[in-house]
Amino acid sequence: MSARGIGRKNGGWAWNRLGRGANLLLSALFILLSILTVLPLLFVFIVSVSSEASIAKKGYSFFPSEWSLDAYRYLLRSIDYIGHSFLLSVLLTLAGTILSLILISTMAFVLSRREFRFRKLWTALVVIPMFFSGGLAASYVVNTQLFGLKNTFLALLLPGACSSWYILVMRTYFRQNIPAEILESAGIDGASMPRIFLQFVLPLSRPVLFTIGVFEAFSYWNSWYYAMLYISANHRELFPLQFVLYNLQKNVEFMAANENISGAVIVDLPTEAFRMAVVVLIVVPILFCYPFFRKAFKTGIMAGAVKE
Amino acid sequence: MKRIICMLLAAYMAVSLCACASNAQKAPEDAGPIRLVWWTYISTSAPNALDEVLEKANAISAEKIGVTVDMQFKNAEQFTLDLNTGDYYDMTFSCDWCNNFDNNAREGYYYDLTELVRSETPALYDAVGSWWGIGSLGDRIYGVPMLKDLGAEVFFRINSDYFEGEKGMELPESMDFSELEPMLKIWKEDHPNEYPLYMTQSGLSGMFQCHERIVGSYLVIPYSKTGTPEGTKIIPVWEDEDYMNMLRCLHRWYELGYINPDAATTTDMPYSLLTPVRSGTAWTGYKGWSNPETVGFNVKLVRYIGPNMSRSTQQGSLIAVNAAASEEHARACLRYMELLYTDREFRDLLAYGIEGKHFNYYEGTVIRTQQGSDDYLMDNFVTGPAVSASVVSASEEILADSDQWTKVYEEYENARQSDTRGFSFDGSSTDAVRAALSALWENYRSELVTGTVDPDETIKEIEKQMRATGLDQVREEAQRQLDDYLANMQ
Amino acid sequence: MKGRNAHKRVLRASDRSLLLLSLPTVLWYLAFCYLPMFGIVIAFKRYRMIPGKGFLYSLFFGSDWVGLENFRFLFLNPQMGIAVRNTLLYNLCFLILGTTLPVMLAISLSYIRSERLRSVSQSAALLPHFLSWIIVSYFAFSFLSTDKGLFNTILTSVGLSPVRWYQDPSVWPLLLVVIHGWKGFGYSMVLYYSYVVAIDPSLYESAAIDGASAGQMIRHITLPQLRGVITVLVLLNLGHILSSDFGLFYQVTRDSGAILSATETIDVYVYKALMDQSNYGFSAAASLLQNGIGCLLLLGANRLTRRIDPDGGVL
Repeated sequence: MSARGIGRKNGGWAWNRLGRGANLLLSALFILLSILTVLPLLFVFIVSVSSEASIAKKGYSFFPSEWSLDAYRYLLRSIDYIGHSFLLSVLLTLAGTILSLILISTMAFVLSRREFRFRKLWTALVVIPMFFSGGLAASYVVNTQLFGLKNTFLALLLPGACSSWYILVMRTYFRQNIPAEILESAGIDGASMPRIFLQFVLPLSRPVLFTIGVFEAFSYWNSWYYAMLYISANHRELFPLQFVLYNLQKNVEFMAANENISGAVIVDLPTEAFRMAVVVLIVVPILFCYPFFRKAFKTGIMAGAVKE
Repeated sequence: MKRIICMLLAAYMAVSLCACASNAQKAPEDAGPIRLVWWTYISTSAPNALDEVLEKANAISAEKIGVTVDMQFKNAEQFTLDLNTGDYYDMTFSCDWCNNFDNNAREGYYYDLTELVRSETPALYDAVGSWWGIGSLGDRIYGVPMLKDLGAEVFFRINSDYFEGEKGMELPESMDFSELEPMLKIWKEDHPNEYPLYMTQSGLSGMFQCHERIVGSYLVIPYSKTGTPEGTKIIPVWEDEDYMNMLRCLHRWYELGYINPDAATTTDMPYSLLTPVRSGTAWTGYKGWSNPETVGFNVKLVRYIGPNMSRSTQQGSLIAVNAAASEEHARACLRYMELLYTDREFRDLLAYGIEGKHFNYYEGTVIRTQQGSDDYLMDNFVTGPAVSASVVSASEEILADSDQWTKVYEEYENARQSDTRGFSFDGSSTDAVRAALSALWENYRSELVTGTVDPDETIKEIEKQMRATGLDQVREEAQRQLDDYLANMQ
Repeated sequence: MKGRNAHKRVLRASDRSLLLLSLPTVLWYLAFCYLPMFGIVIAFKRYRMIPGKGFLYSLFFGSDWVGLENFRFLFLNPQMGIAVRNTLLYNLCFLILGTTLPVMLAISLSYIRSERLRSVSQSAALLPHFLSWIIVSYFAFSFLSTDKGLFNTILTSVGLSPVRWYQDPSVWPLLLVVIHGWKGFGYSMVLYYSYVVAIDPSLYESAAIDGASAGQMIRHITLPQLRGVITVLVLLNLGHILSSDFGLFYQVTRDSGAILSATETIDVYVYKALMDQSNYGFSAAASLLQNGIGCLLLLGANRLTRRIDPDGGVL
């Protein structure tokens, strides 16, 4: 790498001074890496529009011998089921994100107030579950038998709604980025804590709210585990899309493993292209939302680690 | 601070106790039909038309015996959790491979039905007849067998259009494994670029049913030894000569090009449906694979193994009653099962859906409609006994024998019955070694069962490695358990 | 705590309103985290269900205390040894590679001139972070499937024999590291990148006037500036050294039995003990131990962090 003295200002970094060759080399490297990260996505998409015959003959390939939209036609035919799951996932993601942001931000604010009398106790309350839990069986009993969450939408929504980690992250952000003077003067003016929180703290914390909101949204969008545990097979109207995909996968494995169950009913196995089409259906909304949050994310990501 | 912690602890205890109490007893029911909670198995999701069918079924059963059911389909994870966390049910599906019957009965989870079944439901008692042993531990009955096929019978499913129609051969009812060779040869001559015995890496389905698996798939007792002193001797799978002969055949066929070269690695199921010869476990007279619309040609089933019986092949489906159920509910469960056994129309309703919508009767058998295949298709053993449901014909042309179960059960009188008498191996003390042995066996399994490698040479290698890993230690442990078990039974 | 008696009964208004504000979250914690905590007891019991009595009764009155029996079994079980070894080795590997590579990439990225390329690279790098493991397992399958996967198609087309990926334990350490890296390194890179660009430019300017080369600047300016955040993240990861990503080790590997020796981690083992064998005591003991050690490590790490940077630390 050759230094060329202080070059022209480039994107704001006056110290960015690489030779043309080195720059080209690095650029090529990053183009390659970027391609590598999106390649599997593209590949799965191509498989989903390959014809069965092509898959049977050439295997999964970037260049199928024949294209076909059969998988998507099949998807359209089961729109009742798949479409419903899609909407359920969207609803779950929206509700879950809002709920978890409320739970996380209020607690984070409370913990960030050094004058709060129970601050230590409350911090312990939040930190202990990061390490100790009653285990699957106990949670299952409490959720199903005490709260009656089995086969309800709430079973998908509530158990994963809060995260100790994000509370700590947000608390740190509040402490470092909300000027104490603002809060003090507001306090002198007689504003109550909830009002201070709503009027001053939240507007100043958009980046961190946004970042954590995005993370929570994705964890809801990607969740299937609670559905596997809490939603019985009778209630497929409560299957989120990821769980549908998990089931497709399991069905094929089940068929392959239990060919030996005597007289097993021969059902149409979902074709490989179809399964890949469901993958595409799950990924596409992520891609669509991507540009919207990508920018705000730039500022927020540091909040996720500042002095953690 | 301390005070707060104390208060929190106290509150916690209180809520916990509530949780305890809330689950202790169900409220007594008022008059009207008894509603039973019935757990049954399904791998992914229940059929679309379930609610509709159940509503109809409940109306009938309420009128006839004063019982309705709340049928809850569960996956394997939910079965484990719900059972162990003491969730309430009245009756539950139980079998050899899910919600393990012997274990749960031994733990005392199931209601002892021995007296009740005789006094409350004599017709049910008679219907199960000589098969109560399946649901018993010792001389106590803990579960009602939902009778279906009980012995393992393995068939070649052969393209009869081609072999009988075009080639004028005659397909017998049963044959020896090696007798398949001439057919493969003819087919290969006509279709030099195709493979008559196309298979996936799991090999020919059901081929292992010539022995009873005791530990994993590598320690077995061959059915051919039943009735001899060796009938209770656990041996490594390669000492089962019948099995080895089949593997040798497969290897020869592989070399001759009858088996697809990539068999050991492929997982492609759909294509293998179309091959002229395929293998599977079923029972004599089964028509479930015979619809020419699914496979493109008419088929015939030719048996090459079985029927062989052991406790695991018999325990394909049972219904057990919760040990915590009240006697009233236990009686209701039995009445319901009696109805399943004795009322054919009712049984068909649960098994196949609504007549005229999901299926039609034809010549005493059931033919599914398209809507039935879409909205109410599931294995019929999860909703009751297969023997009391009408049999399924593939179409009006491909009729099943409406009386097939009588014949199947007649043949069971000649079936080879394992001498292990319901023994099941408890592997908890050998977990680690077994995991290592399974992994070893898995390494070679695909090549062996697809004929890709010479079994005699490969077995030498496997045997060496498995013995070094502790095969004999596991075998001795299993043999000791089996001997103890048999001694206790006497 | 001194002088606490004086205003013991009087909560300040601000305390009261803060209590109110935190109430929903506190309730959530009590309901979903603390209420089920009684489950820890299972680790010291041989759990047995008493029909009709419910879980709590079965646990407290129906099951025998076995003391540390479950823990003893844990240590006696050779399978567990493999799981612990795998967990530690993979985490160590992820930790080393997951720090060095992203840091290197982040610094390199900051040197690229094209603003657009920098932005596109970051966008691409973040994407895998947001995909679930189920999706990733499908991606992996489309490459690794024995009969149809892209890798085997390529291998056969150049005349090599296909590899049975899901049966061959020797390839999985590499595969898991690659897949983990594909999903996670981009995120770390973007994270470190945001620190790299936040470094005060005047530091570089004065160095440039002194005639420092790019390499020297990285060594003497960039890396020291990043040291804080790197240390914190590394120490934090140490706290999770015994935990593993269930999705990666269970779903991406398709729970294939033949490759368990290379892929089984503590979490997978515990899950299977629970689901396949209903061994509640055993799995509770394993996770208690796992979490206990993780907790100690994190506390230690936290203390170390504070020593390095008095303002840092998580807790």
